Amino acid sequence: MEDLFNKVPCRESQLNDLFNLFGEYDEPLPCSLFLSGSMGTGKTLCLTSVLRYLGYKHVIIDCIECYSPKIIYETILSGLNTTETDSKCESILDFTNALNRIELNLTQYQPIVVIFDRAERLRNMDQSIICVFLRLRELCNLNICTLLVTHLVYDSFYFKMGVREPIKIYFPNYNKEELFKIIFLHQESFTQYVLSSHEVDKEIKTELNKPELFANFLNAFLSVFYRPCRDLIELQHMARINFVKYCEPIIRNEIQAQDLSKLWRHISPILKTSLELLYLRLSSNKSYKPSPGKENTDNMETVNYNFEKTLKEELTCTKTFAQSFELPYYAKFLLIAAYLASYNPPKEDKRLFMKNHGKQRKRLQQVKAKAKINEKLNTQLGPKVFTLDRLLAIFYAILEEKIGLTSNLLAQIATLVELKLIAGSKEIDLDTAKYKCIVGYDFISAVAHTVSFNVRKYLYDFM
Amino acid sequence: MESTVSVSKGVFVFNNKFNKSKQSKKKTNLFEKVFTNEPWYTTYKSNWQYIENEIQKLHERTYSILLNDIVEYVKSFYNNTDFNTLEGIIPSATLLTGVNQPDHASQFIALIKKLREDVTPHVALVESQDASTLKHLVENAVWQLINGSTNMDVGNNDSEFGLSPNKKLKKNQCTMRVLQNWYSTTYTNASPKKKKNTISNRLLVIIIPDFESFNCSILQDFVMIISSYVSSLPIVFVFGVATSVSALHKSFPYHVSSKLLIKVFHSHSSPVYMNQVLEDIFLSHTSTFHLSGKAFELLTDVFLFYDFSVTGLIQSIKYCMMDHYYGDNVKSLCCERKKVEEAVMNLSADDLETIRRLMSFRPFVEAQLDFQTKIALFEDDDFFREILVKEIHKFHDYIYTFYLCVRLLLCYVKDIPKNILGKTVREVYTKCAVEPITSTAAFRECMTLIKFQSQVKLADSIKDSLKLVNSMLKIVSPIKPLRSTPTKNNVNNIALQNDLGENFLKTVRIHLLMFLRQIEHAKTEATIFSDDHEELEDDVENVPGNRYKLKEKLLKATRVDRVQSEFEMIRSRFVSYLEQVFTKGLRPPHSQTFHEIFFFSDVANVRKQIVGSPRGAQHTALSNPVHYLQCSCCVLPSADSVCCSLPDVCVAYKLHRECGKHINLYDWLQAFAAVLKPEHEQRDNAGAIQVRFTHAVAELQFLGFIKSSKRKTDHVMRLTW
Repeated sequence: MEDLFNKVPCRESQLNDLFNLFGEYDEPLPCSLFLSGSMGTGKTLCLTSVLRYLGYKHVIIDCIECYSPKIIYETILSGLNTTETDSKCESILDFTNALNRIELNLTQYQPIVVIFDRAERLRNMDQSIICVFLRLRELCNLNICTLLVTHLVYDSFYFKMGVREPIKIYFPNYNKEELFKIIFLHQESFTQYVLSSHEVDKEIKTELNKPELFANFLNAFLSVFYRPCRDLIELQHMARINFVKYCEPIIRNEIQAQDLSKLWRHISPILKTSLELLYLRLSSNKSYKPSPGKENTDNMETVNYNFEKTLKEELTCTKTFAQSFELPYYAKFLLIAAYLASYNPPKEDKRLFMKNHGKQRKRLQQVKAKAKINEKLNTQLGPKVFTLDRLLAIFYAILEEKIGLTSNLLAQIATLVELKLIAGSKEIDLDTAKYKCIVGYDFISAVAHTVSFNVRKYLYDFM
Repeated sequence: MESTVSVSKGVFVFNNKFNKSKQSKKKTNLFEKVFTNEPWYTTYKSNWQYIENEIQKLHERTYSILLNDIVEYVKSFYNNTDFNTLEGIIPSATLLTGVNQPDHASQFIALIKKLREDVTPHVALVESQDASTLKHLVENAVWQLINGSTNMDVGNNDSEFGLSPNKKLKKNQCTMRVLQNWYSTTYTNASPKKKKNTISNRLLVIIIPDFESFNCSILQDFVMIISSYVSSLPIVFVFGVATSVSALHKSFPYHVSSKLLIKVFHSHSSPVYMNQVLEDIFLSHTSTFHLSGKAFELLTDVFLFYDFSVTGLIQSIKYCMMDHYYGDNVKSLCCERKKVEEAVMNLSADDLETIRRLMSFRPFVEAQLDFQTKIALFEDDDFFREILVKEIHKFHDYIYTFYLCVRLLLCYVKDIPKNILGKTVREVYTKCAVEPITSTAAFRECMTLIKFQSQVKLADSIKDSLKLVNSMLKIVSPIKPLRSTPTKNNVNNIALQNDLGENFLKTVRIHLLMFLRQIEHAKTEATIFSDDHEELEDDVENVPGNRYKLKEKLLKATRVDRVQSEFEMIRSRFVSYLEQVFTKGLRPPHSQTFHEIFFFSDVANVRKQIVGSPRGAQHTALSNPVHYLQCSCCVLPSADSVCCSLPDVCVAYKLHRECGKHINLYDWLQAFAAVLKPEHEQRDNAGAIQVRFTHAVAELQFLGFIKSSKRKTDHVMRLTW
């Protein structure tokens, strides 16, 4: 028991709750439980360690995997029934029958726990399924308990009727001290990780193995990372990468392991740069070394650094994204045409794209200009739907040379759709095809720049 | 097929023993039977085989580095399991492929082959069309992982595992649980003999080649599912991304992307690859089949402007080749150099006659001074054959020099500012193949620019070109300076002999070496002889007020030639030498005798086939059916005229073109009836005509030209413009 509490730190009250609810082996289980809490708060860990400790029979179902209810039934049955390997089960009726059959093989009141991980997925299935599972006890003669594990709160589960409310347990987020405690638990694996990727003297090895060093690092690390990120998994991942860098000067004998202020000065710029890579999870680009351990240590080398920087820019700035891949010449123009079609009102096409469009009455324009102050700009309102005809008409209007409407050209539209630059159907249909350009102004202006085309000239907003 | 003995009468199913491969084999036999005896077909076939092999080799060369990297990366996982402390993280390789969709397939097939050979038999490739729902995606992936391996195991060591029940696995039974069970039965309980294999030998690799076309949410769910199994199954993902890495991050929210360990691989961009294919395979003297400048331009334009697809380009070239060879025995001469004699001997008298009718033959005949030979060329087949062989050898020599000169020219012009002649072999080639390059303005501009190049730069480009020449001559020894220092006289007498081919190359090499030597040793400072006393005079004359004199003086000074340095002299001589070489070597192919045999130039014909225009074809078919039907009854005086013998759809189509956006059905029917039965009262046959009209309208609707509108029930809308 004590051991268990050490293994799952900072979750004493939840563990106690679970133990109390599950009770002794021959006591009846609660009908259903509802565990909620955001990602990485130890829900599954608590549950499995408690159940393993108690030695209860349990089945874990990942609901994301269950695209049909059949899979749920069969997973439960095969989990409970070790002797029968292939069980077919199509409906709830089959399922309850099968459960009752199992009952015969079991000793009276053997507790069984069925766990639905990511239970929010159950909401998308047939309403009756979740209801059935919540009152499974009533449908079969077993000491069975249904557990829903989810990151949503109970209120977002709305049931029609006939549901027995489950008992709710909430897992709050860890605070800074708790995070420290938990990551610190794995100190050995962290140092192991460093040692595996570097050749280290014995003397320094003992230094590195000292928990104080890691504790110091972790303090520094959390002071930077705690604010933007509370996710334990991501924090662990980042800590692993950065601890290696923290240790590097010690390994190279440049900084003494006791010299905390120097180490802090060494690590703080590194931490700041890696803060920008948070959540990206990139394995380094240029290193082809066989062990995965090496790859992460190379992460920060200058060559790779450049690449990471560009990716970061790519994510933040669409311009670099647009420049990062090449499109055929006409595809670029098609994309520009699609953008113009999306962000210009169809009424203005004539004025924008034809040479002799005639003059507009002045009075009308003045009225419009007044109205425009209240009106939002088209480019900020988001793309409008357009038809294939209009796309092609604009395409031919902005393209100087005359080219035929060939199959290659039409295939390019499908390619653009496939690349998710235009939204719409891949089939070219004269009648129903409706498209929408789903790239932004920055992207288009970058593309237009490569073919030296002025987009602003053809946008109604900038007239 | 054995007969069945049965008391009852019934239908028995026999499994068809003729499988598909057999049938297709038979088909090719039939095709070959018609053509095998034709010399042109055999030549075509051997040539295409050669090109295909070359492409394959190049393909392997270019992909091998990338593929090896990926395979290494994939292998590296799960070797040392002690690092798997971060649970549920799937290692994944992201391959940035570029937007050329058709080429991806070959790349991924190569990858799969490589993975199967080097890493693991369990590879699944799931394309977006197979994964419209999560169910399909999982089923496909699992099925391929399980069954792909059984196929492989049959070859290696079958019957070692109890795989037989799995072989009959239905697709809808494939779930992740099944996969897990299968994996544990095959590997965890494997015999100790099998255990010595490292874990990398039983990785499961799932390849997703077209990441962008997947439905995001499906893929997200799939990744989540896999991540929950990753602790028990060693799975590696390979994503093919066409745009850029950020696409991956954009379509995966954090809770999904945190389950992936992403490593990015860049593949070649397709324009680079295309240049490589063209330079190494088609634009070299080793290729027997050549494209004329125009045809070549068309194909590269299709590539650059439309699709970036190298596969498409190669297929178009193949089409050109087929078109070139088809049904013409003369084209059997378009073969390797050593087979020319044989091919010439095999030509029949008729074939020789066709050769005599070639356009390029006439200037050749006219150039013959001897009256006797002129007659012999036409009368004496044997003599003609002899000449033909000689001429073809000459042509091969010409080709050899031509491509060499193209590359030489590139050496000198690629660094020139403003990019006048282009930066790649193909650009220079198109320019050279269309017209004699030395007489163009662009070429002259280049030459003047070379005249301004610095000593080091010029020496560098000469070295480059020498390297090229040496590689052509396959000389392994490094450039050694010529022992015998050429005298000045010798240098001035550089003249090109009349022969082309390797001899030409050798002389060019010697000359280049000479120039290099001279340029490297030349002094840059102009040797200024003392003009001191003149300057003194200047100072005296430079009194203010004497402006007229000063002006005159300056004018005189400009007229006096600047004293050239030694280097400048050599440089200008070198440039004129280059001009000489290129005028000789870069005569356009269409000026050569018998170029028709080797160069494909029927652009107009091929354009129609390669760059299809469905709407154009539809329009021609409907407005001028004679073009396709070839019947005599429907010949129209002009494109707009209508006559009653046209098919009904055509009549309806032509009439509808005269209308605006909305078409009144009744008016249309009246016009239709008037065309069909101009003289009759419409009442007689109204029913029949109405039926024909309705039919025609329905067909037009089916073709997508019109649609019914809800706003006006008796109107239809035009959809074309």
